[in-house]
Parts: sequence; C-alpha cells; structure tokens
Amino acid sequence: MPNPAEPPAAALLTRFRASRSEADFRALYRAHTPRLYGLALRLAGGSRRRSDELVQETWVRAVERLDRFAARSRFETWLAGILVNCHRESARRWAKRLLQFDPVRQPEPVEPAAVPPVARIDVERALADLPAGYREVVVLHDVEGYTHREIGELLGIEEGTSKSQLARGRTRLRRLLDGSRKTNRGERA
Amino acid sequence: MSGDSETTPWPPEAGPPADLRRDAVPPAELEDRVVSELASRGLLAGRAGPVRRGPRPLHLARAAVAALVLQAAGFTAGRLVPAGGGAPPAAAAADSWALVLFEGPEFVPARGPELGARYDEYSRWVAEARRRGQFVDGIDLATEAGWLLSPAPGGPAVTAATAPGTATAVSGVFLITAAGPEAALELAAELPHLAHGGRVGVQRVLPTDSRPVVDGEPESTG
Repeated sequence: MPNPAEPPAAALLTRFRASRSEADFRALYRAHTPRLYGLALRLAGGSRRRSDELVQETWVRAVERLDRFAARSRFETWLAGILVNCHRESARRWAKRLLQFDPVRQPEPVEPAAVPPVARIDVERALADLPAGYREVVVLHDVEGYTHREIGELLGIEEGTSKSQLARGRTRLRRLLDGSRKTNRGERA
Repeated sequence: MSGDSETTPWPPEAGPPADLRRDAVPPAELEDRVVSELASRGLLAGRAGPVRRGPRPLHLARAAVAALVLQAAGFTAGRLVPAGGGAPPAAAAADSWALVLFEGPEFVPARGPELGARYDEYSRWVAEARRRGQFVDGIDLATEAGWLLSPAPGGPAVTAATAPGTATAVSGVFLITAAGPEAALELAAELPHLAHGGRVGVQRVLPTDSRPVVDGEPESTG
C-alpha cells in the first residue's frame, strides 16, 4: 500500500536523476530495495551474504548507467534485469569455486497421487533447490509476475526458451515437492 | 516438445505462487554500504568520501567474545535454538544444517602460541555466522583420543579410530541455519578449518517430532 505521505516511485527517480544527491538516492533505494532484496534472496538460494552483494552491485551499476535508462520498461524491471545479470556473473564465479560439489540431488520421480497442500516452507525450500537456470525463470514468471517477453529481455533468451524452461522448472519443482511430502510423511510415520 | 508452460502448470498444491512474493527486509547497514560505494566512485553529488562501514573492529572483537560466551551457554543448556533467543532474521525458509569438522591426515593442528590465533579465527567465523542470523550451536570434541565401535560376534569391537590423523577424526560440529544447500555450503566454505587442511561435511538436519518425556509420558505442550 503506497504511503500517501511519500512521493511515488517515479517522482523519486526523476528527483534523483536531477540532483544525484545522497538524500534522493536513499529515498529511491528505500522505495525499491525491499522488492529487489526479495528477488535476490530467491535467486541466491537464500544466501544473505550473496544477496547483499547482488543488491549492492545492482545499485552501483544502475546509478552508473542511469542515463541509459530510457523508461521503455518500468524502473523496477530494469533494476531486476541488472540484478539477474549480476546474479549470473556471481553464480559463474561461485560455480568455479564449488565445482566439486553437486549438492542438489534429484529425487526419484513419484507417481501422481492425492496431493495435499504443502507448507510454504517446503515450497521455498523446493525453489531454493531448483537448478539455477530453472529457478530464474520460475521465480521471475510465477513468483514475480514477469511475462515471457520481459524474461526474454531480462535474461537475453527467446520467449520460447523462457516458456520451455518454465515448463521444465515447474516439473522439477513438482518432483521436489513430492519428494518433500514423501520425506515428511516418512518422518511422521 | 516435451511440454510447455501452458500444459505444465505451477503445482496447485503449492498454493498461488504470487502469495510467495513479498518484499524482504534488507540489512540496515546495506544502505550505508551502497551509499558509501557510490560515493567512493564519485556517483553522488557532494559526497567524496566513504561513510562509516559496519561495526568498528573493537565492536567486532567484543561481538566475537560475546558470541563465544553465548555459544558456551547454549551448549551447556543443551539447546538447539539460536542462543541469542530470537528467530534467525533470514527471510527465506531456513533448514538446520550440521557442519562436521574432520581432522584427517592433512590437518595441521595449532601448536603453542598458534592456539590463541587459531581460536580467534574460529571465533570470528562464529561471530560472522551469528551476525547473519545463521549460527545455532557449536560442539567441540576432544581429539586426543577417540574410538569406533563396530558390530562383532559377542559384542561390539572397539578400535582407536577417531584419533588425530585418522580419516574419521572429528573435532567438532557446528549447527547452522541456511535456506538451501548453496547457502549452507557458502558458510561452510568460509570455515578457517579448510585453510588448515581440515575437511568439512555438510548435511541437512532432519526435523523430528520428538518431545521431552516426563515420568514416562510425553510432556504436554498445551
């Protein structure tokens, strides 16, 4: 719910572009960072340290390139695109460090059965366990509400690729949730 | 094609995905860090120097000492909850993870005056994990001797197998919270143990429904 006492986000951007002052940047930062940080946490699999770095790097790049922002997309979409790119670069660096690890085990596929609702914690965990490529598309499309065209622009992929990645990501998510339910049932038995 | 997003819907049992979307509260100090970084790159008008970044070293040292005191208190009481008393501030759902510290043949133990510095290294890791809201508990295990029991006819066979230099030597276990394997591995990778040739096992802690038993009856919670 917007606070009527605060200027709308678009006005904050206009004001900062004109002044480049610390005070106006802080207002802009406070308007957009909670959403940005939520996205960073999901893309980074819940790592706060990496999320901090992602958000910091996103803002630095955004301010450096602010003159190039032509308002063809929403400012928050533009920011999300920068964050996704930062995440991809960071993930590549991280993958090099952890080449020997393959922590995400793929659970055995299970037959569809009665599907009771799963707890939100299980959904978050399953999202965190998705392979990075699937996680990006599933989070951006299903959780954040971006269209395939926007995701295509954000990730530099074709719309069709975004759609097929989403389908595969959802299938993998369902398997992870099924595995989680199976584990929970086993623990309670 | 094996499927597309129209024919493969979001799992309905997961609830509406938009319900998951929420803002997350960034750490308060992040704003200052970003402003400082922008200022240091000359990207803010009228700001040339960096603003204060995080706690001063003295505060960090105090935090490390305090963390160790809390760690000891938490362990003594047998608690497996954050010793600080509050819930971890992680926005994403967090699991508990065990970081098992092995002292195998490659491990280089600290000797004499190195002991204090080594202690400080691990203390700084504990303090940082606590600052991120991920530290739960730590268990220090004596390594001067250890034994392994194996099944054998007539009773378990006992061998000296967990002593220093053996592959099964375990010197401690840290319990942390992390939202997923990446976050758990990330924190584990920062353990000073690795720099000294030790190895770290990372395993998720499975939740249990066990409750304390009083006089043979499960303790009432309500």
